Amino acid sequence: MTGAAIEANGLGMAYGRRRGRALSDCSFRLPAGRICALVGPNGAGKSTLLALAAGLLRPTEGSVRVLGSTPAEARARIAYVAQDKPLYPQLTVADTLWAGAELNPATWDRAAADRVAGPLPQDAKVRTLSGGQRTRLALALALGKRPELMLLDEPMADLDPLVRHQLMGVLMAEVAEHGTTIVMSSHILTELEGACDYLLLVEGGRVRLGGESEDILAAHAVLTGQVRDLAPHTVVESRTTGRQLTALVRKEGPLDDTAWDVTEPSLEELLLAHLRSPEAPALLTPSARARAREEVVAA
Amino acid sequence: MSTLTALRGPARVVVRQHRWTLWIAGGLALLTVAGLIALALRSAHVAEVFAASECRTDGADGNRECMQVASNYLDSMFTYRRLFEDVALALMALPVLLSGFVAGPLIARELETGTFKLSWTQSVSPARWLAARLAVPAVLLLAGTGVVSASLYQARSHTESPYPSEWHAMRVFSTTGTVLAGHVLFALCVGALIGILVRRTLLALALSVLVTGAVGVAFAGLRAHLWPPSTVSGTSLDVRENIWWVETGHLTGTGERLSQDVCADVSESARARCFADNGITGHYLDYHPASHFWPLQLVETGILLALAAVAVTVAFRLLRRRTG
Repeated sequence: MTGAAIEANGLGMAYGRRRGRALSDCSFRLPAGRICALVGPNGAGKSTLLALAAGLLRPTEGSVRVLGSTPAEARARIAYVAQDKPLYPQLTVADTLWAGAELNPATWDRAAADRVAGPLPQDAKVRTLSGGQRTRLALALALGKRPELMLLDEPMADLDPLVRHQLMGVLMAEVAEHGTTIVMSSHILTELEGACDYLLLVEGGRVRLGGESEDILAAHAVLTGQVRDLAPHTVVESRTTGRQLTALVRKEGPLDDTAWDVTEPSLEELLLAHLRSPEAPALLTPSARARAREEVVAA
Repeated sequence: MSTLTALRGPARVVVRQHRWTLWIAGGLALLTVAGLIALALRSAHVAEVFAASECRTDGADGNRECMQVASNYLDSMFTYRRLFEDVALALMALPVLLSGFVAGPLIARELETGTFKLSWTQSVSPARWLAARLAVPAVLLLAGTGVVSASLYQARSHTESPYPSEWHAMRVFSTTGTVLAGHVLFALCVGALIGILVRRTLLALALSVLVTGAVGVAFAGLRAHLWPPSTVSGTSLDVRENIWWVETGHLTGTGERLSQDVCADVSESARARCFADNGITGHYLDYHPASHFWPLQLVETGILLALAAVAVTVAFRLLRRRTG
């Protein structure tokens, strides 16, 4: 088994008493070398999870290990792009890239940064850039750092489809060439579908689905047929129209395809079904399960 | 600028981020030094011309034409002295402005606008980020205030003035020796702590200006008590030149100290009677001779540095606790 890019154990984060908990008892493991979609509704805890992994926050409970060490120790090997794409407004584009080189002297890759920042006006002040241009510059800084793990919080939200496609291509090339792990959060799944081979669904501060997208899809089925008992399968969501039953189930044994019309759900169907059914149990594939805390400490 | 290019990553980025502030501050410092040199040369020239005229300011020359000459000379020298005092006042205000700048634009603004998320996720730890934000202004400000206060000292003592500045006058004491450096470092560290605690640019700036200003005023009022004063006593006091009066009052036969206010509003003729009624047999004066200059300077500087060390330690601890 390859090393873990992120491993969370009982991770919890509370921002003071009034604002409640952003994460609670959150445990999962993300193997290295994956492109992971971190999805969930607004306020699910996605940004908090990324900020904890980036070492910007200290968890109030549990622990998170990144690339085999603490987030603070792994700082030079992680790139993080926050949702609001913070950049120094008084610097120019060229100055910002220069600052990237100054602040990451050991790993800075000018060519990688220029591949993304190339189309930007080099002498423009950051404060005059559009949302899409800011995203481009923030991603250029992240890529120029040549990290082992990229944490991107809603990276594509400000981009038009054409640019989104192009930048996704650059990120994919990065992964293919250097084996970089990428975690991208979004509340719009279709934005990431197709690009990601790993999935983390976060809701209410917990991981509800985690693992290889294919394995998660394969673990579920949409059954259509006459109303009858669905046991032994776990029902995520079911709907009856007259005597017709449509159910999205988690398979707990062989499916009786004489009784049911069986199809594989789309990723979007699967996620929406889980979001609509908060009582459905969590599913983590073996690669996404955090080792017990003692094992982590021993390792 | 060649020294700046030698600074490493985060420090160079701080310099680049705030280069306009640095250019303006550097320009003002240069202008001030140039102004002081011009002022010193001008006052030396005026004093020379007056000496050559063989007139005297006390009218002892008996020459009526000299009255105008002497009056012009005194006016000029008074103006120059006032200008020196203004520069001294600006130097005293500098730590207060500095702490506001460090707390607000330099630190709290990054925390308020979220650019800390960029700064802290490069290969530089938050601790080094803060260290750069302390080191750059510390080096530049210590060098700048050092040059300006040395120029001021030189310019002030360049010529024999009819309005000499006394070593213990607030504006002189505050801008000579080591206390100015102490106030600069204190202001810097308190600014950093408040910036990290408050995380709102304007609030941090205002709070930091208030705290540093209050500490500056407190030291100006209390600094005479930071070293035990010398005392003279007797029936009539032999008052020396060039001393800092701390406190004066009456002594009773038993050695008890009475306030100067006792018998203060009694007429001259009734005073002896009043003294006798209160048992006053003599007077005392607590004062600092000029030799106390360095002990007073060093004690004040030491207290400021200790406070600065506490503030900066707490600031780094807070940062570490927040980010892990």
